[in-house]
Amino acid sequence: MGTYDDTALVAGMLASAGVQPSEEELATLGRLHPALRRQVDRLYAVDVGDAAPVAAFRPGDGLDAGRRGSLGNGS
Amino acid sequence: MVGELRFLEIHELAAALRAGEVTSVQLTQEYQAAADRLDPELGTYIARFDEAALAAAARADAELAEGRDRGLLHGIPLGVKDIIATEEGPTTAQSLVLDPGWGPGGDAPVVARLREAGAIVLGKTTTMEFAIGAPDRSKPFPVPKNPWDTGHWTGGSSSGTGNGVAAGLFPAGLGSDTGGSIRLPAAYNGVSGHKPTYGLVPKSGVVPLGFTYDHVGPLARSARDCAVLLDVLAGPDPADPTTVDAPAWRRGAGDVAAVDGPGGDGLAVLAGLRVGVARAATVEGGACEAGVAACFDAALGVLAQAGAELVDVAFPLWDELHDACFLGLFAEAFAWHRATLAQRWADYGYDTRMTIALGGLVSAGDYVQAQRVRSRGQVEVRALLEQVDVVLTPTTGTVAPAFGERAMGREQRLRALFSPPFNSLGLPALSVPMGFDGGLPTGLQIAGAAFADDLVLRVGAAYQQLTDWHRRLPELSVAPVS
Repeated sequence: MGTYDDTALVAGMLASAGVQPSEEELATLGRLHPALRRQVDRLYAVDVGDAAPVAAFRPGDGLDAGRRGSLGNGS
Repeated sequence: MVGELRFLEIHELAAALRAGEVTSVQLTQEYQAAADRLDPELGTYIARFDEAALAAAARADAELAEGRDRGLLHGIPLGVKDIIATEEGPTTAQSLVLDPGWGPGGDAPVVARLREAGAIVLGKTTTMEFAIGAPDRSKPFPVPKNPWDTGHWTGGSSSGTGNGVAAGLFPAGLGSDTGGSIRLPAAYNGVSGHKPTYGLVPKSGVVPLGFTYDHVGPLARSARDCAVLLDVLAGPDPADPTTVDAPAWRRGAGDVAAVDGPGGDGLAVLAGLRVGVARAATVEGGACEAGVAACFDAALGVLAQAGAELVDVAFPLWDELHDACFLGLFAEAFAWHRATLAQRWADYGYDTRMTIALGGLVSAGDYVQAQRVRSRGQVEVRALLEQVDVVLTPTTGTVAPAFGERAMGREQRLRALFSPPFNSLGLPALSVPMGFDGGLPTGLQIAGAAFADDLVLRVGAAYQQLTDWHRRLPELSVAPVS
């Protein structure tokens, strides 16, 4: 895996989502990021074979996410 | 008898109501008077519905007088976590951000079911912002405190329901649990709390945090009272397609409610019960304090003495299921909050926005992998639960932390929570009090196979027949109400 600046990466990912924490907050998130990646990498180390995701698509459900409500802003 | 009722269990209150020793109105007034005295210190409520509650209690009394009896919850006052919609007013999720118009425009199905069973809604209880933040004194909401020591936190996120039951402000209430938010405050406040099997209780009308990890369930004074509420809460709802009908639970529920009643033999469940002890993953995992471990060993001794067979088990993929819970729920929360985080970042509490932002750092592939690990975990843990009937751990490795305490780093603090793997798996898990460490309560977690909620609750009720930890009361709460 290549090297990268965690804070810059975090800032870029969040900015691409329109989320803009302060510089201090980005630095904090940058410090947390390596631990987050370690957790993610540990998941890829599990021998899951061909396991499908637990949250599987079920066409008969008639899912209507709006029924649990939203923030009222289209989220 | 009025004045002595606040700490009784639901079945005891139900008997007093039917014996004419108290009315629902008197009971409601007693809990309200206790809240007048204690809530300013404890921060249990976000909103109280005093007039509506008294009116509902009067109707409950009239029905009982006319011979209409809706069951054990008839006339019983309850608290409801303020991420769950009620008809009395807006849900806040303890946030400045949530649109006051959010919600189904009435009761969430779980609240409607409790009302149909005759329960009285006293008010909405405090939480962590959107069930994920931390106590935040910069926002205009109460900071919930632990009645065993108000310098300590209640745990969360069902904070007010937990400390309200402990302090005798209501005998039971509703919480939600995405990584431990029922079981954690149950453990920290010395009460009982049950996270049902995923899909047993509808989540419609409840502000989502992690869609595939969220559970709604009861906190109460005992496992038996949790069963009384669960019996009413369980069942499918068309607005929540993840819900299922679970006839096995329905067969067991009545028996659980009677488990330690007159003539009952609740201890029989322990004879020959195969108890898996997940010691290596929890007590020996480096995040469990010695005092908590001692309480856990003592609890195991009680169960063994009553005939349970203890088996040390290696819990498969414990750490990975722990990670899959937090990574997955962060990502799901980010999806729900992204637009608002972009528009109103500073209106969120600091811990809330920083935690949800972590979900924006989890890629789509990472999220899918977390869901695949959950699938693998389901297979491996199902095999484990063919070898043992239940799995026991401490609920957490520590007692309630003091406000501002940061003795451990973030990762270690999360590791000391032994609840999240059961959210990843969707399995039923109950926390019951198992003693004290330094004057603060500790919790015993009892988990079982999918839809074996009845067995989990029976084991908890049997343990509570053999111990009195769940009957201990915080000194602050027992001073007479003037």
